[in-house]
Amino acid sequence: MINKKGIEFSFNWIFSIVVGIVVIFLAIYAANSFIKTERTLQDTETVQQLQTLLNPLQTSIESTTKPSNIIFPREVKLMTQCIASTGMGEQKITLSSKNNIGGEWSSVSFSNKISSYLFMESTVQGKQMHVLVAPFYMPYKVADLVILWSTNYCLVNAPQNVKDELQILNASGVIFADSKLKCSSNSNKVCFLNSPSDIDEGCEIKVNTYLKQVRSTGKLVYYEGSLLYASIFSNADIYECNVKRLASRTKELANLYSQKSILLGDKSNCGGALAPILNNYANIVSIKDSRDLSNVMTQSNDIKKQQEDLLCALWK
Amino acid sequence: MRSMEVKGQLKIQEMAFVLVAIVIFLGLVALIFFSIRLNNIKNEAATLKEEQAAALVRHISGLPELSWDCPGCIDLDKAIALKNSKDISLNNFLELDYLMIEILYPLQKKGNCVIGNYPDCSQILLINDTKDFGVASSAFVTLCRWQSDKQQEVCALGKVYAAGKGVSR
Repeated sequence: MINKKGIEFSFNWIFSIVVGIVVIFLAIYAANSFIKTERTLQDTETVQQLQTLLNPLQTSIESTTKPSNIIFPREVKLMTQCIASTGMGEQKITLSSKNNIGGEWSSVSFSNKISSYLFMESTVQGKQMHVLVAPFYMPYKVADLVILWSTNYCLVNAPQNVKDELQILNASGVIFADSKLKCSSNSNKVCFLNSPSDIDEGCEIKVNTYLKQVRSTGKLVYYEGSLLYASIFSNADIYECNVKRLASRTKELANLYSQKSILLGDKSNCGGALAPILNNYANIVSIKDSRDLSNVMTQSNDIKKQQEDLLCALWK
Repeated sequence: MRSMEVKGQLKIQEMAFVLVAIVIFLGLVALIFFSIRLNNIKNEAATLKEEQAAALVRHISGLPELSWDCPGCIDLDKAIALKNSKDISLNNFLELDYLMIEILYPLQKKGNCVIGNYPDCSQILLINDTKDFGVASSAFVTLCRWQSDKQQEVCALGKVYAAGKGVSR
């Protein structure tokens, strides 16, 4: 007897379903792998472009082509880890990009030895990032400081020289105000204390220009020269680490200029007298933290004066 | 009954062939797609590598360890001091296997520069870690130094050659 109410489940169906499941599974797996590969590829491309973009920022050649913004194809998270312990130190940068489907974050990391001194918060997130490149002298040019941030900053009572410098350096994402009430609520308020009587309540970052101190999230750091901007926009730990790395570079350059001084002294009787002073400078430039910067800067200014008297300048 | 069984078997075979054909077709499409994509990736990688190499060579001329005070200029006095130094290594911040500066014009005596023959020489070899560095990327630069007999700065046309991990990275 044939049961007419039963469903006919022939071999055809079983075969089709099994093969269908296998094909669909393989298709999903292939698509998933392909998407992952594509994302890694795009992230690697972004990292390469970022590296290429950051490298020229270090040179003096592109002083007129410094970008004030970096715009990524999609939202990214940049994280950095600074290591000062080995030699000249290094910075590791991790770039994560947000997936449009599901909102997952992928990441690609690279070591930043070339564009070496990147000052930023430990994590900076956004599709657009502001960049500021400021040369650092002590007394010769040591490096260009690359400063990155994504949120807006409101600088309250900034001195005129700071306003002028930031304008020359083509800084974006920075608003100047004479009162913190004029700052927008979503901006980080940076208050400049230009005299001991200035009040700094309600400010996330406090800059004391007469003591050359910057207090941010309870941590106090010291600055000299263009390090002021680095200390405002950067995480205190990354700042201190990079300051140590800059000191190592300053020391190495002091040794190099000392050798150049000896070379010029031998060949053209010019500049040789500065060699022992530079050797001495190389010995004292090693610093424990940014607190020691003012002492180094005093020595640096002395050397600057002495080199100005030379017929052939060791640096300009 | 017998004809139904044969018909059923034929259907199964037909479906199996169709499925095999679809899989082969999809495989071929995927193969073509991936070969085109791979080719694009290779082109993109080559372009990025070139950009990186050009940026690096420009970057080298801007390093405080080598730079003169004009854009794209290298201080030859610093370069020879750097070559002579045992304490300072450019590889602290450049991952290079090879770095050489060549003076092109005005013509100089051929030969590697050392303290003894400087500046009457044409090449300053700063890094030479391996013989297998491949093809070095190069860029034209201005080479400047202090000329002791005339007590003035002089500049020449030169080229920087660089190769290594830092370039191909």
